[in-house]
Order: sequence, then C-alpha cells, then structure tokens
Amino acid sequence: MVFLSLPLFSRSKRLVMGSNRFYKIQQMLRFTWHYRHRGRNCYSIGIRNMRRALRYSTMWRKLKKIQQTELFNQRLEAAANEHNMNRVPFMEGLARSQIQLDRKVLTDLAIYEPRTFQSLTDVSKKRLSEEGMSGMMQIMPRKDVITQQSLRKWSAYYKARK
Amino acid sequence: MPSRVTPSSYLRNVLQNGVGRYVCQLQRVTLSFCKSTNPSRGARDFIENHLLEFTRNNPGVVIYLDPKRHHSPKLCVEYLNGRTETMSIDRYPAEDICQWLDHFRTRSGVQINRLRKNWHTDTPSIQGTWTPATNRPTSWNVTEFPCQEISRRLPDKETATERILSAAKALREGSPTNAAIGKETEL
Repeated sequence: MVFLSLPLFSRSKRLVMGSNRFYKIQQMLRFTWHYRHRGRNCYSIGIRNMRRALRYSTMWRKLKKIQQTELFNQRLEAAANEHNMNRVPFMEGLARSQIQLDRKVLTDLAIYEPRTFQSLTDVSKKRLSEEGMSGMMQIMPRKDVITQQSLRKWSAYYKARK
Repeated sequence: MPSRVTPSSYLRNVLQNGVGRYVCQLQRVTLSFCKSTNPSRGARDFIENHLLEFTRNNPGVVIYLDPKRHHSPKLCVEYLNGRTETMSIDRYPAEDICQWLDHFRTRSGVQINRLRKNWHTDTPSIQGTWTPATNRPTSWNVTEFPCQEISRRLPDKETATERILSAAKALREGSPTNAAIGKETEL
C-alpha cells in the first residue's frame, strides 16, 4: 500500500472500486485463494471471511506484542528459576547494574547461550546482595563476581596501599 | 494484509555469494521499446546515453534490445536461478531506468516476499543450546532414580511451628534476640 504520488494512488484505487464489479471480485479472490470452502470462489461467501481476516490482522498487530511479552516473561521466569532466582528480582538486579538488555535478548541468551545467562544471574545476585536484598534469593551469590561496588572497593584499597 | 495471502520466506544468501567471490546474479536484460512513440522516450534516452556505460561496468550481463513498434517499453530481467521479472518502464525518465537496472543488478534472483526473520545464522548457539540437562549437576548421570535426597521438598520460609520451636530453643539457651516471635523476617 505504497502510494508515492497522486497518479499512483488513483491507479490502485481504480483496480478495486471501479464501476466494473470484476475488479471487486478479483480483489476478494486475491485474499481468499487459500481457503478450503466455497469462499475461495464465491463472492458473497468469501467476502465475509475476507473482512473478518482483515479485521483480525489489525487486532493481532497489538495482540502479538502482548503475547510475545507474556511468552518472554514465562521463559525468563523458567530460566531464572534454574539458577534459584525469580524473574522480577533478576531483572531488578540487572537494571541496577546498568545492564540494559531487553526481554527478547535475555530469552535468546537463556536459550542459545546458557552460560552467559548464568553469568548474568550471578551479576544480578551479587548486585542484590550488595544492596541488602539477599532475601530475594535462596542461595548466596558467588564470591568471584565483579561488580561496580567491588571495583570501587578494590580501587580504594589500592589507593590506600600507596 | 493477512500473512497467508502472500508467500513468506526466511532470509537467505544463495550459495554464500560474496563470502568468497561475488557473482552477479543478473544473467540477461531484455529492453523492449518503441523507436518513435512518446512513452519510450526515456528508454531511448537511456539507450543513447547510459546503456554502454552499464554494459562496460557489467560484462557478465547480456543486454538485448527489442524494438517493437507502438508497444509500451518493458524491462525483462532474468537471473541465474532461472527466475524472470518484468517491469513496465512506460514514460520513465532515463535516470529512473538507470536506477531500476542498478536495483536489478544488485539482487539475487530470489522472490521478494515477507521475511519471517530479518536475520539468518547457521550457528545460532556458541555455548550449546539449552537442554533440560544443561543446568543440572553432572553427578545425576551416575545416580539411581528415584532418589530420596534429590526428590526432597526444598525448604520454604520457616513454618510457624518451626519458629516457635526455634524461639523456645533460643530461650532455653538464653539468647534474647531470637526469642521475639513477632519479629518480622528480613526481606
């Protein structure tokens, strides 16, 4: 549906809404060729299904985003549970560590790069324990995880040593 | 537009063209035009001024000129995979025809349709795709299942009974801080 000029727009409109009903039926056939019932050949039957299909395609643009978010949340919950965390604290810990990965990327990591995802949970746990929110996790974080706070401590330590 | 009406495909680079050597996928171009009428003016312009430059730059592309009296001008391009695309260049100026030819030159011959994913990779996973065994202890490989130790219920927060018992024990041992039953657990 790309009209870059008025002549092009009127050309496409003529294909459908001319006085000749041939074009109206042709448009319907272009939409309904893959139907199994008589709707693929008969206008008055197929036009109902075609209108419903077009209506659904407008609705589903919104619904797809909602459903994908739900799917990602479910997957992240499962992935975080494998590392003894819940999704919300995990995301909270990441946000506080300024790791701005969105849900889609995190689920892709959880599926295809599970060790990276494990490291992310470690970072999140460490950060949460530094902020005093250890109750959100069932096990304590590992000692070898480096975060901003630990870097600050080390730099302060080395400065003091000098 | 419902997604099943028009075909859709995955993104692909045919035969990894360009990874080693790049082979131009455009095989031949047939330019039909009229020698006299107005709609072919741009086509005639193109043939006079820009065609030879195109042929010199692309020696692998064969160009046929097909003069047809009183017919509207058309561009017919054929690709190495056998596909053909035709396009009307009725009343197009010569510069537009140049641009369209360039577009056809840089395409692989695959049909343009909706991409299900805008990326493709032969190796989606470096560390190995997740399996149910990925995050499980490897000692389970040599364990007899069902195993009481592993199947035990993981401890939740202290139950009320356990809190009272632990408070009573603390009182007996004489540490007052743990004895407060009403104290909230640390969150």
